[in-house]
Formats: sequence, structure tokens, C-alpha cells
Amino acid sequence: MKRILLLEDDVHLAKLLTHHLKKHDIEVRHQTNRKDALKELEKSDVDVLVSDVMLPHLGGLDFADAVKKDPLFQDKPVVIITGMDRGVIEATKNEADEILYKPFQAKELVEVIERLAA
Amino acid sequence: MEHITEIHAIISNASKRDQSQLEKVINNLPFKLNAAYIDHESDLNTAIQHLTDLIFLFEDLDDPDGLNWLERLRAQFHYIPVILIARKGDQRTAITAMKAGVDDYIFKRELKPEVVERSIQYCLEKTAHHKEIEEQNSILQTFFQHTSDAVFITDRNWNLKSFNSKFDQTFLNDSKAIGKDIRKIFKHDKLGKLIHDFDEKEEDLDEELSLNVSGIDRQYRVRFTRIPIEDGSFSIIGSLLDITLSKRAETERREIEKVQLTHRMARILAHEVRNPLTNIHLSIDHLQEEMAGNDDHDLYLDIIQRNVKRIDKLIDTLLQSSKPFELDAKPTIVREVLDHAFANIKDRVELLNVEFIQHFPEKDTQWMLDPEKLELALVNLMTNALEALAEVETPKLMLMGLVKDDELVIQVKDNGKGMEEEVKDQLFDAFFTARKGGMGLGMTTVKAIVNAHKGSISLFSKPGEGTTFELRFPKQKDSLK
Repeated sequence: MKRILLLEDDVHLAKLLTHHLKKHDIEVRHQTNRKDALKELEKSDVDVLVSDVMLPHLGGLDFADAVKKDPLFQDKPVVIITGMDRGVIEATKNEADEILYKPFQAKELVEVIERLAA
Repeated sequence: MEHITEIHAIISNASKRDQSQLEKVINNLPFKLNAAYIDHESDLNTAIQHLTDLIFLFEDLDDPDGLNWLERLRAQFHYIPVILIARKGDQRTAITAMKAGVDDYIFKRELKPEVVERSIQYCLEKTAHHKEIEEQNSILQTFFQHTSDAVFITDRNWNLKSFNSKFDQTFLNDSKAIGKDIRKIFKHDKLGKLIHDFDEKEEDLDEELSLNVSGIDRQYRVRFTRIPIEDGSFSIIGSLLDITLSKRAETERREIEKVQLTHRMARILAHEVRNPLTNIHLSIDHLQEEMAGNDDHDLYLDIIQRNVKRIDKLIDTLLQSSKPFELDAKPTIVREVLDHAFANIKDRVELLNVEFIQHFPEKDTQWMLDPEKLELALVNLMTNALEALAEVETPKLMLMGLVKDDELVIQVKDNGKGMEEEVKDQLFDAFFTARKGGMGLGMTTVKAIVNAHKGSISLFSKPGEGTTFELRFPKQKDSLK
């Protein structure tokens, strides 16, 4: 069983993803803010980090940035999910191993997680 | 007035006795007076070559020759003051002398140093004052003639008293128009109506209007002001300032702001809408797995999914259209862009039986452009034009490109149904559309493309006559961003 950390402030989306990924044998640890997400990361051993960009303060990107700079976690694959425009997010490619643009289908996320966690 | 230390004077027509009497006075003046004596009018021109501050003229005022000379002197050397020393005569003859143009007079019997000093003092001050006024007047004249405003002055009945060359060149072309009634000159046009309005009201007038000057529509700021004059009446000053260029710049700035605002709104909207859309997507995914095999359910889920995709597509289009375009500008053969743009609409042109007129630039005309973006803009413009031509009897579409004054000018012109003013005003707004089924983003896209090229777009349209779009692209020295 694989485990992901999901940073997402839209609770509906988190619930749907949790439900769906469970069917594909992926456990979801969900947090809605950056601080709690970092705590969760220290506590649980997760395979992949999935983070929304989160407006208005782009907290999700800061989270990804913090992870990539931390020697303990910098090898963890990071997936950014975003409703923003492609051009805006391209610039942050360095922090992400993969970017998924909303709306996406559940199976796209499953594919990405399975590939990155392998 | 500065303190006098030395003056140069010409003394004319003095007899021996006059001379000796004057010398005594001169020697007792508190400043140095250099006197040059002349006996005949003909000597004056030679004497006046030298520095001359004033002229003393000895004369019997009943001598008509003396008065005539005075007149000639005034005509020729009006800037040099003349003091008359009258050998005889009274107050009455002195007045005659003043009228003839002397600046001051002294009766010979009163020839004393303090009288002469006072008179010289007075004349020099008066001359200096006149000179100052003349200089100011000349500055005002220069300003009047060279200001970019077209200016005229009339009396209260609109009879022209004065006008500057700008006004003459732009509106009159008749330098002999002084005295003419300006209302007759502008009888039929908009300016005539303004004059009429101004007469009806008490206040000054300050309005912007478009005037057709030598066949070209230009924007003017027109001001009429009443200036009270001494006799209780008034003059009217009118000024017309050509504000076409600044108006155009202002419109440009507003358009750019509008596009930027639209894009910001679109981005926020897109982000907010995409979140719930994702949730719907994921829910459908889930339901599709749960309910596979039920045809009814599949049908409804399929409809939901398609519509979610449609919303997503709309958001994409909106973002694209309002986005400041990133240009891939390179030296481009203009003719090829026009050719390609036409190729896009050729089928529809033929189908609708539209006469297509092309004026393309020379094959070697190149410009810094993003050929694909410009092509898209032209296709959008021509697509709109074709729609405006739908119910026209002899539909014509013209695509023209030329280089003029360091600008590439491209026109798309149709003789279609034209546009009302309110349509024109909103044409470049996102989501404004005058037709069914359109999203109202075509023109926003055109605008964004032109802006990205640092170009400008203008629109000329009249209902029933057709529409012309004019795109102008300035020559770029440095590369476009």
C-alpha cells in the first residue's frame, strides 16, 4: 500500500480523492494548511506529496519549496495540482516533479502517483 | 528708471542765439549731454546713425514746414523722443505740437536747466515704457501666431478682428477675412452650431467635438470666451486645439487597462471555477465505475461530463483572449501574412459572393511581427466583416497593407451594415457580442494581439455604410518583448 500526503484546502476535493485513491490501494493523509502538512510529513512516512497551489498566498508552492530544500525530504516526489493558468505555474516547475491542471480525472492522478512512487 | 549719467541728443534748427542759450543750460545739467547740431532736415539721417537718445527741435509752431518735418520724423524714427522748443506760441500751439507727435515741449522763454532736465527725464521714461509695451506686445504676437491653438478674436457680433496663421490655414484660407462675420463662414457645420449655442448662453464655452478638416475627421477642443472691453461691450476669443493625438493615446491607455482588468478577473474566475469542476469530474469518475452498464445512467453521466468540459473550454478561451500575448516577433514579409489570412476565409468569401479587393505591399516589405498572431487577428476581423456583409447587395471586402511614415498600416474594410455608436464603444470588451452564438472574445483577442505589438487599432464605422478597421504598427528599433 502506498501513502501520500495531500495538501488541499478544498475539502470536497480532498474527500473525493481520498475515496478514489483508496480503491487503488493508495492511502491519503490530508492536511489543509502548510504548517500541519509539514508536521504530518515528519510524523508519517509518505511516498508522494500532492499539493494544491492554494490561492491567495500560494502556500502550496511554499510547501513544495520547503520540502525540496530539506535534506531529509528532498527526495520525496512532489505533485502540484492547480486551477491556475499554465503560464503562471510553468515557472515553478523546479519544485514539482509533476504538475496536474484542474480539472483532471482521478485516473490521471493515480497514474502519476504510481509512476513516482515506483 | 536708471539714473542718467550721459545722453546723446540731436539739436535741430537752432539759430546761433538758440545755441548759445541752450549751451548754458546744457552745461548746468546734472548729467553729460553730447549735442550734435544740424541745420537741415537732410542732415538728420547722417546724424542719427550715431547713438541718439533724443532730439531737440527748435521751431516756430506757426511754420507749416516745421510741422511737416515733425510728421516725417515721427514716421521714420518713432522710437526716438522729440522735445520741441517753441520760440513763440502759447498753450494752444503746444497742444497742436503734441498732436503732431512731439513727446514734450518747452517754451524758449522757459529754457532753464531744471525744466530741460525734467523734460528729458520724462521723455526717456516714456520711451522706455513704450519700448517695454512694444516688446510685450511682440511676445504676445509671437505666441498668438505660433501657438498650436487656432485662435481668432471677433467683436460681439462675430466680426473677425484678428486671427492667427493656424486658424487661417486650418479653417479660413482667406487672409483678408478681417471684418467678415464668422457665422457666415461656419454657417452649416458643427462650429456654426456651437457659435449659435454660445450666443444663447451667458457662460464661456468649452467643448470637445470632431470636425472634418480637409476631408479628415479630427478631434478639437473648442473654447469661446467673452472679454469685456472699455465701452461696456465685449470681444470674443475663440480657440480650437487639435486633440486628435492625445485623444487617441487616452483611448489606447483605457483599452489596455480594460484588457488587463479582464485578464485579472478571468484568472481569478478560472481558478475558482476549476476547483468545483474538478470535484464534479472526480464524482463522475466515481459514479461511472459504480454504475457501469446502466445505459440511462451512462447517458446522463456523459452529458454532465461533456458540459463540464465545455465550461473548462470556455475558461481556457477567456484566459487566452485576455492574456497579454507573448509574441514571437521576427522580420516578417507582410504580404505573406495577408495572403495566409485571406486563404483562411477564401471559401466563405466565394460562398457569399463577396468581391475581395486586395492592396498588398511589395513582396520585399518586411516588418517585426509575430506572423501567426497577426494572421489570427486579421482572420477575426475579416470573419466579422463577412458577417456584416451577409445582407448587402454588392458585398465588398478590402484588405490593404502599406508602409507610411515609419508605420505599417493595415486596413480591413467592408461595405456592410456598419455599427451604431454604442456597439463601437463596447466592441473590444470581453464578452461583448452583437450576434447570437458568439462568445464576444474575437475582438478582445484582436486588441490584445495589436497591443502586444505596441500597435494601435482604430475603428471607423457608420450604420448602412460599412466598417473600417485600421491597425498601425510602429517601426520597432529594439526587439519586441
